[in-house]
Amino acid sequence: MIESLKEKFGKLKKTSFYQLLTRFTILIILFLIFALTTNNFIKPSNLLTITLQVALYAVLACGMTFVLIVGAIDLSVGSIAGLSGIVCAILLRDFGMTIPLTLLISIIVGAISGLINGALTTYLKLPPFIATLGTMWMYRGVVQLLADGQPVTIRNPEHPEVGEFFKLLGSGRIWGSIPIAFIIMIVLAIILNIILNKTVLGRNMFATGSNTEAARLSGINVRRTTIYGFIIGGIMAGIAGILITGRLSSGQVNAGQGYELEAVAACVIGRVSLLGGEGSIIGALIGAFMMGILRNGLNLNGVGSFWQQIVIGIVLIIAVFSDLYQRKRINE
Amino acid sequence: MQYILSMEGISKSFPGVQALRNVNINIKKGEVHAIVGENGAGKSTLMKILSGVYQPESGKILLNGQEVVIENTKMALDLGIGIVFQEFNLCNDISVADNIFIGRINKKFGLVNDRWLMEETQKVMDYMKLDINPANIVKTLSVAEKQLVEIAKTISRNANVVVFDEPTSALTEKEIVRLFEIIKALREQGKAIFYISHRLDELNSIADRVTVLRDGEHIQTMNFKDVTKNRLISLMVGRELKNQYPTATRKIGDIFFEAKSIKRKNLVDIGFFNVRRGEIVGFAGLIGAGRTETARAIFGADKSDNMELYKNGKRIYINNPESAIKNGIGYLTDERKESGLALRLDVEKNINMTNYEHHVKNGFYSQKMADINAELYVKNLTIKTPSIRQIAMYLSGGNQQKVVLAKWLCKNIELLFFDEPTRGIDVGAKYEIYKLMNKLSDQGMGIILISSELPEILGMSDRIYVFCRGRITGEMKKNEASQERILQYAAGI
Repeated sequence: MIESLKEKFGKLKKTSFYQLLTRFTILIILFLIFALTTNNFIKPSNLLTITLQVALYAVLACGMTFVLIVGAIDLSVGSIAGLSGIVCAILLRDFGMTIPLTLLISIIVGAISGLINGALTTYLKLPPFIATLGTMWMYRGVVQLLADGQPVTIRNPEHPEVGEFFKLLGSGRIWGSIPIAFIIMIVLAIILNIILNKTVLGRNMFATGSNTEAARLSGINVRRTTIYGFIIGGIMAGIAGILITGRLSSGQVNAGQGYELEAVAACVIGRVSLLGGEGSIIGALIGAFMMGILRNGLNLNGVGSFWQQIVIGIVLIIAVFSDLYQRKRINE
Repeated sequence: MQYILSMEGISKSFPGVQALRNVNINIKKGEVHAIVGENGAGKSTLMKILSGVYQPESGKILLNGQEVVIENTKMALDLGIGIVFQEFNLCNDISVADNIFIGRINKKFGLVNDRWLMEETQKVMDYMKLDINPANIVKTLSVAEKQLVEIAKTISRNANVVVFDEPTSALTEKEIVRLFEIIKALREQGKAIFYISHRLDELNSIADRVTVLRDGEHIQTMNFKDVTKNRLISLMVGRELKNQYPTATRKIGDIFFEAKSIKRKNLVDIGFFNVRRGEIVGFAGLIGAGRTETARAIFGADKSDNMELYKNGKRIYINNPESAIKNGIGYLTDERKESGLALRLDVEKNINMTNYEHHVKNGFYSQKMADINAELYVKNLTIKTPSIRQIAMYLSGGNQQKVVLAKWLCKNIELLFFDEPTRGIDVGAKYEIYKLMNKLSDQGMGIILISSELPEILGMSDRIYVFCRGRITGEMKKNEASQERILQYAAGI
């Protein structure tokens, strides 16, 4: 009886569900630790604030998940967010565009940026790290050009409610408490999860990231699949850019700077493999929330932001190390 | 003590296979000693033990009468043993000079002496009559040039025992002549030279003695002038065909697939071959003869310069795997771990990899349909796995191969390439794969079997094409075929 239980546990250990469960457990433990060490942590208002802050990074991380699963990486998502944010602000301020059109165009900016990254990687065969390092600079440069070095406030005197709408998107709450950005994050996460797990495209992405050659020789169009991964990453970055602009009520020249590393860190902590072929939206969310909770909890405990950075770095290293260690144990 | 080097009672095994069993070999100063045998006979393994790449499980090595233990490659080099590898051991991104003097560059005040490096390398190039600039980066060289640099590297070390492992596979006639001049010069200098080769005709010009290995055992050593080529071949091949192959009751149909021309620069130049329905066609030949390259061209995995294919009499055009699959052609790759399976994905995702679009219901992927399909094949092919969620890398080699096979059976494949299908698989699983192949051809599938194991080709094929250096040099039906005949065509005799 014990033997068969042990056997079942051994098998369970190998599934991805279990792996994520350990991460989730750590999240809960962190949660409890902070709940016990400060009074302010567990307050609903604080928890909701966390969700507001995390939502932005989580959206980026969900997009990055697709890129990583397909076997690539996109270092330019921070710049893409900045680009779509600035475009959004300019469309509102200078063109007095309607809300739906502004949203659409900003998202398309994100999609096209992702498409370019995908094309550089698959047609020119540039390693994704290098290609997106280049576009990271390029896109940021375009942001500077468009903004002319100044912030672009979304003030439209004829239609003040437009500016209000975007502000709501970025930092508004419904029923006075739940951030709209959080709800947007949840909706996007659900959609992306469906794409990843319930479509042929999602299947193709796992295969392409896991073994590109085997996937290609099985008849999968790995080029197209990879490009779709980048496009989705770009769209998420575009949406993040809109949220940032809304929150700040302006398009900032360095909006999103450094966010790509946040996204990668969240994904890695959430067990999305940097080698491709493995990962989940839930994982990305857990990773993003772990970082958010760490930051918030440490803050409330009076830990300075520099120390917070050190802690997050250590957590990242431990996360990767524990993955490799687990993998080694399983192989033996 | 007439032998400068003596290897006695050498045994070595790897997981699942006894590579060498109690092998003896020795060599004198100023001797060229050829080692011959089929693929897998143990020739390379034996020499890798001599050069420190592997450690023997038993046996000893005597150098100048003293026993030596060669723990690593550096030790071998220090002892004066040099080996020219079959698979080049060059660092592609650095220069020829850096490669040749790797590990022993002369320093001036602690810094690399570039002038010395270039001058010395040029001396070696001159000696070998090579027209290669020492400063050239290795990856810009042709395959033949790389082989020559590999040879130069070893020669410049002034080793006393030099091993050549298939050194002429990429060389032209002129370069081979020069190589033999160098080998003869080395012999004059009193060096001991081991020479592994499949090309029995070459050995005529240089070998003094020859040792035949078979299935990891020493068969015979004799003076080269005392033995004929045919005798050598029959010693190499020796074993009888036991009943390792299931009997087949095949009804072979008409020709349905024809290739009238397949050209890939420097790799393949096929004039003509065809396949009938329900027929198993074997592609025999030495490694590098161009069989896998031909298969990959037909399957659209690699670009070809010119290709004329016909199915059921109609011309078909294939330029990528997708179009090959649409035309009913499948390809079981020769390296299932590299290009057949996604090792980190589960059995179900691997089996369905060619067919994800099929399991769609209402626009969404139906896990249920996918699972049903996977379970079906697990059952039909008796794939041993705890569940279809098992990650592929935990399956045994034989079962992994079955998963790859299942992947192809999901599609309407009419012509399926099996490239080295039983490599690294135990005897029991091999038999199961053979039975599956028979079943498929009974159902009318055309199969092309690429294998370096002669018994396998002879046991399973209805008809055999023999490849040599990218061309088809022979064709024979099952009842006309023999290991000797295949080896002759394969060696280009």
